[in-house]
Amino acid sequence: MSFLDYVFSATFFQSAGITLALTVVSMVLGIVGGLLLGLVKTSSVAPARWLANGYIWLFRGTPVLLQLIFVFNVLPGWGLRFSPFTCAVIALSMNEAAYMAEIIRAGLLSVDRGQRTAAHMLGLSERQILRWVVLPQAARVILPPTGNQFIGMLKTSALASVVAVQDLLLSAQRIAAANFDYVNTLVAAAIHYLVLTTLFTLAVNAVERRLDVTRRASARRKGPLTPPVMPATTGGN
Amino acid sequence: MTMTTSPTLLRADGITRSYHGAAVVKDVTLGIREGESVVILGPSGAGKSTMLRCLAGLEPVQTGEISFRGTRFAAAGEQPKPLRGEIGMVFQQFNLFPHMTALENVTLAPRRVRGIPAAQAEAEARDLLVKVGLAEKVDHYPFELSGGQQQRVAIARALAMRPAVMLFDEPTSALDPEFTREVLEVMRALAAEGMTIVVVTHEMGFARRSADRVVFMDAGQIIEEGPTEETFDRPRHARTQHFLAQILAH
Amino acid sequence: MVVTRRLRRTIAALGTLTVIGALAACGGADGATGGSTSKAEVAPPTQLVESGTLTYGTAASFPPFEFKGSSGQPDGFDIEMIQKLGASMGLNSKPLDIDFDGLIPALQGRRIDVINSAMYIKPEREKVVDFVPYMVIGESLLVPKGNPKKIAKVPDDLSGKTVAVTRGAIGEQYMNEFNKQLKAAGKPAMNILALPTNQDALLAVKSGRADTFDTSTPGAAYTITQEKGSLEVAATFDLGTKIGIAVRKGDTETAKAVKAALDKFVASGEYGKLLEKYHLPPEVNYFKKG
Repeated sequence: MSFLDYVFSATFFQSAGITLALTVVSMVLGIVGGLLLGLVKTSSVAPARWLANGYIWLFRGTPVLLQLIFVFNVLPGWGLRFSPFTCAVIALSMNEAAYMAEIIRAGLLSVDRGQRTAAHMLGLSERQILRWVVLPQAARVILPPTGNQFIGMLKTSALASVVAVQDLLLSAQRIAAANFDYVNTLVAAAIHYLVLTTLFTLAVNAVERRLDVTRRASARRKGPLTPPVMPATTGGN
Repeated sequence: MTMTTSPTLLRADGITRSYHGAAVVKDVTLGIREGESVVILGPSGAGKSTMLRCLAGLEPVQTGEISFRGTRFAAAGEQPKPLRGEIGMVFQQFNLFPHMTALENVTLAPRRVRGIPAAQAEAEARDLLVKVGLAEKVDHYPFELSGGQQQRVAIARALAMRPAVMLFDEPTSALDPEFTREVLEVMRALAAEGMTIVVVTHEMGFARRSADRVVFMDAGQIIEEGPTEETFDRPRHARTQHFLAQILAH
Repeated sequence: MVVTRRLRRTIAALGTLTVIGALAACGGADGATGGSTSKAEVAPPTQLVESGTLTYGTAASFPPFEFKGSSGQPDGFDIEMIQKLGASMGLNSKPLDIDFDGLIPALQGRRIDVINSAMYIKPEREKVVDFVPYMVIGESLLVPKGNPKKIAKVPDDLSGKTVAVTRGAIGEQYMNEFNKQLKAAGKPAMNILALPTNQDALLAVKSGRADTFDTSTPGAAYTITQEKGSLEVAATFDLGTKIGIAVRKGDTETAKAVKAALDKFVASGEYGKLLEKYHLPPEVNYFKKG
């Protein structure tokens, strides 16, 4: 069998689907969790900040593998028994939230304070300021590292085999163990990973282009553009 | 043009604003009457901008209280209550939303805060942008506009909420001199229409021609205030005299 | 592998936690209402992960014991065996395919009832789980069908022969040791052909460059399957490694049930038949008398 036979086999497509689903679901939940943590971290309520910092400390300070095994094997003892896939999603997204919190916090802090002040004076609520003013601007800073996290998650998800999730790498290893065809099966798995990574990269680039106002403006009008003149951030007296 | 009989719109009563124990605004009392245009003058570091930010409800005060149309919205020891765009403010650094076109900047608050339908909000925003002389620039992003144009969009954005009073915090300080005039023209037109404005500025020409009243601040306190001509021509306080002499010598 | 080393440490760190978790897990309220209609010959354990089902962990990467068949489902000696054991307890059996390093944590965390993954019984594993042994394995010598060089007695019959081994594998050490014994007995030494991979060693035998090929007993059995019977096992030696089904430490009830079912499985002759089916030599029979 050549590696192409493996690439197009049902088993590889199925397990690549599991890897993809695990990555996307864990990432989306991780981003939502990271946003909440990032907001709490920039809040003025000290105990809330401590809690968020404690969470981040815990989840960044322990191996994700340990978290996977913990969710799969220890939580059932406390009456929380989930399927292998759910366990993997819980562990991976909780871990991801800790990393995304720092990325999102940096994005939120990159938005000039004057933006919030102006929006506040226009009568927008805190939530509206976040939704319409801060997040769209923070997104440009948040997006590139989030793309990296996505690709990292694609590869981290292979650890879920330790909690009985039949991901891409495990499937390839299982096939190779049965027929000793390590080279072709692993090449086939690598191709699937590379295709997924490429798709993610293209998606991130597309979103990045959408967020770029200079590109939006030039798409609308032809002609040379002056370089962006962003307001400086010095205060009055 | 002085309107001594019109009711007080915005009033600060004995307010102090201090940072880490150092008072930047000290026991200031100031009333702004409806339709009045007031210019606040004074040397750098006098506390003018901080005082204006207190009037806007952007700074907590350590003593005194501030009321709008007779209702208190800020007082010592509490966070100022947000006003829904009734006090408009224009900043030295414009603070336009860089990811939105001029039109989107102006329609954001009417749509999201007042719930005005998109079509109506856009029509009104276009009128306001025409009024500030930017009919051609509605679909431009801030980075495509000059400083003067950006500041005029910022004025239109504040006006879209139909505020009762407009506060200007050094609106021309960040501008190249060539763009200063177009912004001052818009402000002058507003004052002439009867809009209540309070302006912190170093533009003496504007103060002289457009202000009904000038307030002179130094070291966090109001040193002197009065009708424009009288204060400019016959300042009573030595520090006012000194300041005016220095400025006018340039 | 880096992952594996990290995992070991992780598992060690989790040990205490898992045990606490497992203790707390006792007393699941669901009574064992068997889903299977077949009559139980052996009383099943009362505490099962899923009632009516024997849930077992397996790392399906060790042919011929457990591997992913063409259907994508685990297949192999262990899989067929546990189905029979489960049936005699009146239970359905359900596999959970887990990376090998995740098996013991899953057992301790009560995700599975037993580990059925040809696990070698080693002292460090016996500290954390209890085993019910069912096979003993060692090294086997593979020769072309018909055993043309008549190799049967180790090491005497190897004298003067060419033996293929995988470089660095335990087999190479054995052959060196055997050569010393042959020398001491005044016999000609064997020619040891150390090759980089199993496949190379296999090829050497098939091409006639080597007379025999030393590999692990399971490896030999699986190679025969793969080569569709063109090879056979000439001799098996060093039967020192026992393999067994693992149950939670101190879980005598499950251990007893598995043992009883296993005894029936052996007594009925099905065990012997299954060994034959998977080309496992009779020497591996743990229950063999003598």
